[in-house]
Amino acid sequence: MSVNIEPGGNAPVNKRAMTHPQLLSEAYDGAKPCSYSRGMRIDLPGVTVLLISGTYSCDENGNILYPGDFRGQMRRTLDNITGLLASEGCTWHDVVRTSCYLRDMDRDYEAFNEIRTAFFNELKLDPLPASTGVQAALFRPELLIVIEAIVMFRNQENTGGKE
Amino acid sequence: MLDAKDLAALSAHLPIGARAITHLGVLNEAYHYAKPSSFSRGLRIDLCGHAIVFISGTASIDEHGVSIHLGDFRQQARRTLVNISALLESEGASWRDVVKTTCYLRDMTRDYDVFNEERTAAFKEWGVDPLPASTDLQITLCRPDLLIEIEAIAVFKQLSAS
Repeated sequence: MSVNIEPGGNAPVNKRAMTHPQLLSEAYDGAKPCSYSRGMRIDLPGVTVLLISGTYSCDENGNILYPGDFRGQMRRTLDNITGLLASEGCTWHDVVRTSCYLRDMDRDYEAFNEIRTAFFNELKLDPLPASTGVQAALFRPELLIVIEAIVMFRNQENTGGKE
Repeated sequence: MLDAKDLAALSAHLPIGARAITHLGVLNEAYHYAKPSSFSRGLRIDLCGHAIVFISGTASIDEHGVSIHLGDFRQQARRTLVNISALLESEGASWRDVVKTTCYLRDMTRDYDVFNEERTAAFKEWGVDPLPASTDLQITLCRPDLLIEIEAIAVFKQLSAS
């Protein structure tokens, strides 16, 4: 593999875009491309970091699912993240941080917590990820919830056998 | 409040060695305003042979700290992207090293299409592949004349340190 040397003696980190085309479309596909990846995988010595983009209730063709249905959107959002995690061989147990953006906190925060708690209970998540939940207007008017996540897990790369 | 002795005790560990980054050619320091804003334009952390650069929320301002391209979303988006380029260049990095952005727009309904046009054109021109992860949101920004703000995380290897 060639190393792309940059000015200043730096080189690119080992990284690649994350994708799960059976579950959700690419943001940059379509008539009006949004130039971001669904997530970025970064391999550091001994540790892999996944930065999962703001993820929402869309399908493999980029259609927004469950317009007007917060619970439906919430479940699909969690499922889409589950799929992205699985594509890199990991699970919600590896999530260390989430940011949750709700369009209408007053109306939906209770349903949000019910579904998240049930989902994390089912998975027996412990410790729970750190999280911030705030209200924001989202990039499509029909979206009610967007979640981004940070994931960390150990890899076998460059550990140098020092145990 | 902690006094100086408490703080000294807390500092018994070794600091990570974070260092502020700056590019005075394109944007001023936030803490040089008449009413100082106490943040760095970005912070660099060197870790395990890699550099991690946290770029602060960056907007369409010039080297004097003045908001520019008032009312012109397209030009504000371009200047914001270029300001971040310059901050990255000051550390020998580029947009190709950016792994995550958070993009804050004042009016998503009006401006998101133009934002995507500009972002896509810039990333194509600069050869950004893979594309960074991103979350794009509508929020109220720190000044009424700013229409867009972008924060970014970049990671790259340091050949000299590895």
